[in-house]
Amino acid sequence: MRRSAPNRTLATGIAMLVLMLAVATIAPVWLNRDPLLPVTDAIGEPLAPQRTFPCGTDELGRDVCARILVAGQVSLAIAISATAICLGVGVGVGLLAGYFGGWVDTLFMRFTEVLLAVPMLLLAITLAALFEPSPYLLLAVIGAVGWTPVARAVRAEVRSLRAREFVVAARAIGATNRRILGKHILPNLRASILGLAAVTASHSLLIDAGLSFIGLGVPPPVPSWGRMLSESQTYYRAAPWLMLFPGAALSFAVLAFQLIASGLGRPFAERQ
Amino acid sequence: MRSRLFLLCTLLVLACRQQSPGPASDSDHVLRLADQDEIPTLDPARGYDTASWQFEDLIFETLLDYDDKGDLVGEAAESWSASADFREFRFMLRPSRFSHGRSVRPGDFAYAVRRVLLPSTQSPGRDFYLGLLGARECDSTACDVPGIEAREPDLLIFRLETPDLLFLHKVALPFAAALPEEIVRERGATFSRNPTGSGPYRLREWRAGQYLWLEPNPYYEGAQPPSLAGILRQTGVGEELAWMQFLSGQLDVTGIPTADFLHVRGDPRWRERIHTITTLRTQYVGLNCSVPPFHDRRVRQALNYATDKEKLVRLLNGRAVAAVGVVPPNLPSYPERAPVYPYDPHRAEQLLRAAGYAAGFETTLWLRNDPTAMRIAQSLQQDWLRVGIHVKLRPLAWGVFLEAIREPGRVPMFLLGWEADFPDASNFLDVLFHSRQVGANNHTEYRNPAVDALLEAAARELSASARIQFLYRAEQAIIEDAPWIFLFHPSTFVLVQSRVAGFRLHPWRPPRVGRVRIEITNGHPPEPHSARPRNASGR
Repeated sequence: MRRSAPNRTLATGIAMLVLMLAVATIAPVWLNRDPLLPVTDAIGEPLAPQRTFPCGTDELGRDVCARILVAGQVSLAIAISATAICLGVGVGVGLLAGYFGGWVDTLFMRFTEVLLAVPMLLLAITLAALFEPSPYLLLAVIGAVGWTPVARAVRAEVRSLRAREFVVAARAIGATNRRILGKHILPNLRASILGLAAVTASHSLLIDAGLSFIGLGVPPPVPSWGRMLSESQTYYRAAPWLMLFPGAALSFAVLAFQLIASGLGRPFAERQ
Repeated sequence: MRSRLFLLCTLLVLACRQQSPGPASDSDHVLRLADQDEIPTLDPARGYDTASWQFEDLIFETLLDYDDKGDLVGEAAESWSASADFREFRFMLRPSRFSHGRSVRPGDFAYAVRRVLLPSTQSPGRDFYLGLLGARECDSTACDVPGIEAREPDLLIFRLETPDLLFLHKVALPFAAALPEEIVRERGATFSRNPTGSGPYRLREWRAGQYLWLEPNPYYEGAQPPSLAGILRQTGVGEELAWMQFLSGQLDVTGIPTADFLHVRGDPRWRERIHTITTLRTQYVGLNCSVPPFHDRRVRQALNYATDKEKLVRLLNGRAVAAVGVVPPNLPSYPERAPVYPYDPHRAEQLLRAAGYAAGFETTLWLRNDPTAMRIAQSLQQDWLRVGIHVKLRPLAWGVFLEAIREPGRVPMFLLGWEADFPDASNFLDVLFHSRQVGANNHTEYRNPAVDALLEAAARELSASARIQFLYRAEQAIIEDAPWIFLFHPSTFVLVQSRVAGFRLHPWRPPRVGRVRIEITNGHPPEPHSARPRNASGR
């Protein structure tokens, strides 16, 4: 038995995620600035980063740091909740389709393919036109389409596992489908599911930012990284910090999840 | 090898053609403009927006027009007179010709107005001319309006059912521009994209989504002969791109992006070339008087006190004037008014407490999904939060938004603006606050019989000063009732290249770009020469 080398990618990703969660939780309390109200009289003329306002202020006189941090809380909460929805639905569908095969597989997979064919943006715009934009709508949009890649990956994994000897043996001694799925197949999917979770979280963050960018995200005044980027377009030459800091925060968060996904994918690949 | 070379050359030529921003032009005396959106139509009966009116004004002629001061002057009419009871208006036409060569006759103006009145034309300007004798009997089969009499060769008479002091302004609207009936009939629906008029310019080419190109009308005989070799208006150029094109000398006239405004205004290089005017527009938040809590006047007044209008003006970099009422401050011969609702959150809280909303309330502000509107709305959100009013924003596409606010009782509060068609307070007060306009333009469902009576008295009154007094009293009553939060009157700021001379902004009409001149001096300034409209092959 050989001990695998320390997984630096995973460790870096986790460290970045922990740092991000810690900053997003503690910093707003420490900063003690309302992200919704003006902190300066400089309205209509954003202030550049300075000692008092390390990330500068926006055109409405609000502190950009305070807004980025609160936006981080909102975006991470949405990404994590959306990931939970995608995993719940995706793993369930993938397990059933992959294990039972036959008409169950055909039904679930064709449905998955239909959903994969629906353009995400059009669906989001339609839903936003029908319902008022809200965090729940965002979750519904991301959840509605985000589970499909999870379902496909899990199904492929389950199809391979169900032919393994330990599953055949369990079936031979009379184990029920429920027991085989719960006790034998699901635990073997753990590493894949964690990897998929990290990938889904990073995608959710980007989708959340994209939808907020086009005005379909969490409604103002609650800040979100995507809308901060969208609102700063006008000022990209006069006040580039308005675009720089939320952009950097979003990239940092996506990178953290991608590193975790990459780090989790490696032991899985080694075992294979 | 040869075929490959040919393919490469073809691709290069195609690439060059696609990069070309406009049509061929061999003259420096072409005025270059750009805008994001396409011009909706050039049919005077259908256009009712700034872009359409700007170019209709160049292609067509109306009987009357406004000079730079805003006074009515003759355009196609040499002289005109109104009867003492303001029910009959006579216009003597000067000789003029359409851009295809035919002389303009009084019947061409009569045809244009009858066409607007035809229900099948679906003209948004139909209401303006319903006061003509017999206009209401106009239906899809017959539109023989006895109130319009065209006497060849040069007399046109309009007769109205009731007196109308504003009728001269109505004939100055592009809806009443002369149209050649034979061409309109021949081209049918395509007339809106291929118009013929008697204005100083005519259409040379219009490529949808790319550009519109006007050239001088060779038959034009009017008082404003074309001073340019052409006018080129690019489409699909957003504010930022237009600004960059302007800086590199590819555009002659542009707006100033919000983020660059203060820097441009402070720069001595640009200061001389900035043109500004406060428009006849009012930006407001409409409060639906039939929806709680806005059915209570005290709540509406509280919101007016809780709104920091000066902050909004600062947010717009000073490109607005804080509103004290409905009517803009620069309306000719209208009395000055003192501010009724200064920014006073304490007074707002008192009023809310008196109305039973000491703990505040929650509501939704509907608005157009547009960056400036969103910025204004977020500033309002901040102000109202201070007095305990939590407002959610509901940004929507323009069409959906307009449809929603027209639906009675649906929208509690909305952010909107109104721009006058002509300089008269009734174009604000009567159109937006008379109870008969509920379901049409009175989106706040405001009903006050006293205001209705004052507005009706103003409509009947033939003395201009007495009429203004009625309108002024109506406005004071409306301000007291506060169905709106009176925000500001936007100012327009436009920057022009130094080679453009004679550029003027108009307070209620798009800028008259056909009247500018291009002055080119050797060696100075550099930008116009480097920015000659490139020809179709990109040379």
